[in-house]
Amino acid sequence: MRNAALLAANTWRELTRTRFVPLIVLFGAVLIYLGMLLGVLAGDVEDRVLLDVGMAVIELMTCSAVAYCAATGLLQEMEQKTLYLILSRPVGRPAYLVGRFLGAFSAAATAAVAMTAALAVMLLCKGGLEAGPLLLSLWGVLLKAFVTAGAATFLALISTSVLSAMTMTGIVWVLGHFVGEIRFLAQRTGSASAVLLVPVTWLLPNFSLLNYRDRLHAAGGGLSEPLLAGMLYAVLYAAVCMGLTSAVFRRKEF
Amino acid sequence: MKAALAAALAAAALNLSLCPPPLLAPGAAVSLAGDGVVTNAAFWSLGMRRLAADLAFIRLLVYYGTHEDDEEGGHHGYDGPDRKHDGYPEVMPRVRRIMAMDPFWSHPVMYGVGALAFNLERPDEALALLEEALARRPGDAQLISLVAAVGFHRGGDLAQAVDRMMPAIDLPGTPTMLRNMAAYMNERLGRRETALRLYREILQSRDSNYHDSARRGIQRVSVF
Repeated sequence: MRNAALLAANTWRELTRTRFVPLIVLFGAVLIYLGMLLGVLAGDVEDRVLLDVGMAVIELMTCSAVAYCAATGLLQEMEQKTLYLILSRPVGRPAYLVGRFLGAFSAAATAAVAMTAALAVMLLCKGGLEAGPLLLSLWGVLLKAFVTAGAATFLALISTSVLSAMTMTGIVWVLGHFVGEIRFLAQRTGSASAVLLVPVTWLLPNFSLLNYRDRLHAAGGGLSEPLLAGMLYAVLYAAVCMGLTSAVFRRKEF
Repeated sequence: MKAALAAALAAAALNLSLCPPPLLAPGAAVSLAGDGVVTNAAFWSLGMRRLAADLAFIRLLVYYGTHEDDEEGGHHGYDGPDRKHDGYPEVMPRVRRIMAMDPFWSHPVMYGVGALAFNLERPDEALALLEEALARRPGDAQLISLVAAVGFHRGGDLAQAVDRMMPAIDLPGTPTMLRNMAAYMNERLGRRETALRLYREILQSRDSNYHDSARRGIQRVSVF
């Protein structure tokens, strides 16, 4: 566990010192600022538009960052053979994987928090800052990023390149938002091929459970949702991904 | 491996047992057709329904603000129950699409109802919109007030319509366009105090499109 924590801290330091994470934050902050143009057009609902544009940008940037960090870290270390240096020491393979995973996630989470702070400042300047919806949206983004990091780590190990790993992660991410719709369609059509899709929805991450920012004012949504259950789901899903990654990684010959 | 299997089973159980609150009323249909269909579908697939609704509402504002026979912003104000408009046929379908994307956002519904009932003189369309919105949010005080107001306005009873509308207008989140109409209706009925209060509130609002008309309204009311 100590090894995993050390590796996670080291990965976080490495990612935040490189240009990638600061660039993500900078680019995200610029996009959030550009959201003001839409806000001006929105008249009465400017605050809502700023919050929605801002959180959408933050989620996209964070999930892209975590997918990139999780995919590149592992594959690059395997290609550059720096992995040997770590595994030749008394560091177990599962500890290495968990360290890498947590490091990638915490770097992306740092970026998400920084971008949310920028959004909060902008909303505060506009006089429309509501802490509850903002923090709840951030919580959903972090949980999604946690699940995405797990899925990206697993997909990076079974794919041949960073590009294919990121593409597969992107597909999983989009499908994860359609789990409810896929189940609905399978139920409605009732055909054999549609019914076969149902088990696929059990494998996909159900991001609609964590999409708190889309239900901020829905009846039964927002803060009245079972937030801890959502966190438990995200942790368990990522644990499954890491378990599978560990099983594949154990069989790899170095 | 056993731990991963146990976690998989637990995650699957949570996946099946946890249900996000439904965003659609039972049996309600969703249509993404029309203006901005690609954008809406793209945002939907990224799990950004609220943002899709926001953009659709901005497009509605642009459509209603810059289209057809716009003379001195006349369609933003109250023209009286006798003037008929056939224009802006897209107002109702656009509001419906916004409702499908974010059924718990009442602002676009109120905006559409204000435009259809009190300006374009199509109260049947406004009542249909209100009925659909109330099916999603039964008991919504603002929408119920508007149903009564539209009903009385259709019957030609302006005073009753304004009386029924005022509770909705005084609640936060009412579109400035609707507040502007209520102010003008109050002015026509000779309720200068209320009209003056509403015009002043409009001047405090974010929507600067109505600030000029509010200033003119204050001047008119203050003359008497």
